[in-house]
Amino acid sequence: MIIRDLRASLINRDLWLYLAWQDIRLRYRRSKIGPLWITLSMAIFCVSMGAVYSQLFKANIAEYFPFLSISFIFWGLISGLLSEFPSLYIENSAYIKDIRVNPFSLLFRLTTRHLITFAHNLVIVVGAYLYFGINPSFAILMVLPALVLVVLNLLGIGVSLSLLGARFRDVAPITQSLVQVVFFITPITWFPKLLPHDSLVLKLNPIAYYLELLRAPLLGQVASLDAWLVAGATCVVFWSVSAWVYTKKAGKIPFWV
Amino acid sequence: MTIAKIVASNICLDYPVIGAGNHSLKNRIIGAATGGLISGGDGVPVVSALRNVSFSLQQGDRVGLIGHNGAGKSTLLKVLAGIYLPTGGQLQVDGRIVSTLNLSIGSESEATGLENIITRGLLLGMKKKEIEERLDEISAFTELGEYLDMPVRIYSSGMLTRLAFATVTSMQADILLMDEMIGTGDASFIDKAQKRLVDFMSRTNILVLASHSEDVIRQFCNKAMLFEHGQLMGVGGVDEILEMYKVRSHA
Repeated sequence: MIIRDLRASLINRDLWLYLAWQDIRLRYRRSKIGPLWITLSMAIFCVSMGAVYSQLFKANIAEYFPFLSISFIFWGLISGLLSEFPSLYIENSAYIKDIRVNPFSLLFRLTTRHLITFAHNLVIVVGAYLYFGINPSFAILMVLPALVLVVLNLLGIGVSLSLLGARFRDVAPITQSLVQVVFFITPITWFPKLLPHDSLVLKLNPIAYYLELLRAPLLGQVASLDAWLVAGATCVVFWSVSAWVYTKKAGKIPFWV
Repeated sequence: MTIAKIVASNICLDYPVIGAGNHSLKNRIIGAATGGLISGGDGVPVVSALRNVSFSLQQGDRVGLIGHNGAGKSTLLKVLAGIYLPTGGQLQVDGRIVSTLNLSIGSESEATGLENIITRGLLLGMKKKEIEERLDEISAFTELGEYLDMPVRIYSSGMLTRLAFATVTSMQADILLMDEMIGTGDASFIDKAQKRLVDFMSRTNILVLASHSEDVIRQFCNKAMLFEHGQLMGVGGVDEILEMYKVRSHA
């Protein structure tokens, strides 16, 4: 069933691609600078955090700012998706109750919308490169497979999390507070090297691996083999669990929302 | 071209009503910790909305669904539309289904009329290209002119219905599901809409129409099904089933 719906949704991609773009367009239609707000608010955050935290950590701004802004842009993608998954079907209940909607089309719409926002924020990375005179190497291309793998992981989580959120209304607030906690225990604003290498905070946190995978190519580094293996393994686990949950429960969505 | 067909054998639909208390994870956990005493076990109340419904519809069938409120007509339409999966029995539906169950869905208030036509078309299962080919015809029919480039939040409810009506009725449906007749507009528009609707209904291969109006059923259907408390009481000719409905209602 999950494969049938996945396929149908990919064939019918006109729907979610259009809706995702429309979400972005509508949100900024009445504002003067439109989608630039996405980039601007992220840039303001990165610059002010960068200025203060580089002092706090006594870090060189040329090292700290690119690290922070790149981490934070990816974190925006990850946290945005994770916190919106649980309320996905509830928010689309008007559709779900009155028309046959493929759950994957809703998942893909949400994911595409966040990817578009993310793409806007990449301007900040370019800005950081120019300002600090960083020359990206060919290693930067590794960010593409890394992004694909991480997004697959997030979608794998999303299939289950969105179903869980539709059934149990507490899941959305629980997820949101967990996401906040994860923000602080994941090396986003602080360098992972500040912790001992075998720290469990890094070892047991899959998000820390995802971030390493995504960040390394943009900082001219090579992500560890561990990060790839962990991300690959979690991807298999998340999708296996989700395939099972989806097959059992996807049909119940219209009753729950 | 698919041959439209609907075969239902013994379909049941049990609607779980997740009410106050049952929704929360806390109650589940407390329930588990206390051996289910507090939450009263896994007792999600279930409404049996359809019970052992069997029938088959072929090309050319125009069937009217008759019955009191809550008899299961709308639920059956939603099952046929693929919104609800039957909780029991087998259902086979071949052909492109279009339902006019709710004309207000897919209205994005900040989007323009034209954007809403596209969204609705996509939701109904059309491809972007298909919609673009029909966009001129749909826009012309709505007679909304320049309003089509304005956000629909400024539309009157009549204008919104026109927009939705024009889009839905431009579809090519193999199976058309309707919950009551749809109609729209002021005196001058209503004739035009009526004509378009009748044309739309006659293009489809199978029509399933739920209605409380005897006249509507007589005008558009060549078959009828009577529902009571989620059960199919009878299938047959329109006159026969309407008679049965009257007898049973007064009994």
